[in-house]
Amino acid sequence: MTPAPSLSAEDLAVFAPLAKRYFETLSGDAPEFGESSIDLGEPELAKLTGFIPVEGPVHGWVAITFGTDLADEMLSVLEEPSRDEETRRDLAGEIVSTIASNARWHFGKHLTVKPAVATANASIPADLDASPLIFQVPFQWRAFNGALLISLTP
Amino acid sequence: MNTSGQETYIQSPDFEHLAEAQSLSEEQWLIAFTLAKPATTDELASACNLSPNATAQAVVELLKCGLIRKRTLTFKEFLAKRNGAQPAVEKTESVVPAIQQPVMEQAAPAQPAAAAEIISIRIGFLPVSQASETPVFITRFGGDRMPGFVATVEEIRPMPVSARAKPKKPSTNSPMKLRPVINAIETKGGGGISGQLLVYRVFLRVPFGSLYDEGITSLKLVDENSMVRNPDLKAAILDAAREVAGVELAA
Repeated sequence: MTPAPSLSAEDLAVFAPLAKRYFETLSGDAPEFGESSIDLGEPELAKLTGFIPVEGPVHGWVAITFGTDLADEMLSVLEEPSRDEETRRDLAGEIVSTIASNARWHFGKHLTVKPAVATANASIPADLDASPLIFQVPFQWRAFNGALLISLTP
Repeated sequence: MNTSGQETYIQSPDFEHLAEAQSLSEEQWLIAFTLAKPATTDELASACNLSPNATAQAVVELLKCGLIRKRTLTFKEFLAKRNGAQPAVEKTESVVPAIQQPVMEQAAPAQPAAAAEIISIRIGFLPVSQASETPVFITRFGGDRMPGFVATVEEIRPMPVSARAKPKKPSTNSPMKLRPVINAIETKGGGGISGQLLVYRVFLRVPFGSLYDEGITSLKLVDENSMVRNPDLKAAILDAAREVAGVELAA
């Protein structure tokens, strides 16, 4: 994969295959992405969400949101015995941190991929805010649902 | 182009009644109460010390629960706003280009410069249904001050709109099907998530309040029958499609 010579919002589509690769590499099962939607209003977040703030030609954040059922299944894959909220939130942070690292390598200097942050209460971190229009792509990994969200500043 | 930051909002008439049943964030209440007076999202962001995104997001939520509405103008308010913004002659020209131009050409075809000296012209459009009954009067041209200006028109009788000169720009008043527009942008973006992200970027440039007013809260739900009726929204979508995606679509 070579760094993108220039960057447009459409380049952010790379986050979908990066997420797919993460799940596939760890579990052997790739998530299936569904039909995307562009919705007006607050994003619907599951309990656990990892956010990747981005700055550059486009500004905003990319996030992966999923429930505790998906988190517990992934913790099983990782042979992590704990199932408490902190462990689940750490998992959300680890997933998006891995994706963010690969995204930095992909975009190079064209996009600043800031450190990932995670929440475990279906909320957006205080230092991030959501665009009035949210792009979201649902996915299913094994029997569990999640979504990739993109929020860019108009 | 009209942007979301320029749209004006105000509390709904039944604000107090609706507010009793709502549970909102502090920022949303702050914006809701600030909108006791009309304000744009840019003005709200400044007044409430919030980011443009946070303000826009709060406005969308307040629109959804009916506490606020996009402010519309009465015809009188619209005219008053125009009077305050533009000189009278410019206003007249911009309002009635279709009928004014043929009159000028007929009166002084070889003296185009003289047209700039006309003091005042008042022309009004009438519905076609009234056209055969009611004459439209226009004031005299300043004939003495315009050597070479042969004709002095004091009265014209309106004719059906179809027989008048056509405006140069195509009309943008007819409703526009939205699905073909989205499809064209998606195709330009290469389809898949990449194409859909291009659609996303185009619609980020469209005033979200107007989208909401048209009942468009999710582009996924846009089908073959979804129409855009608001001419300003239609123009904003076409402008954004052209500027962001390089997609030229007919109005």
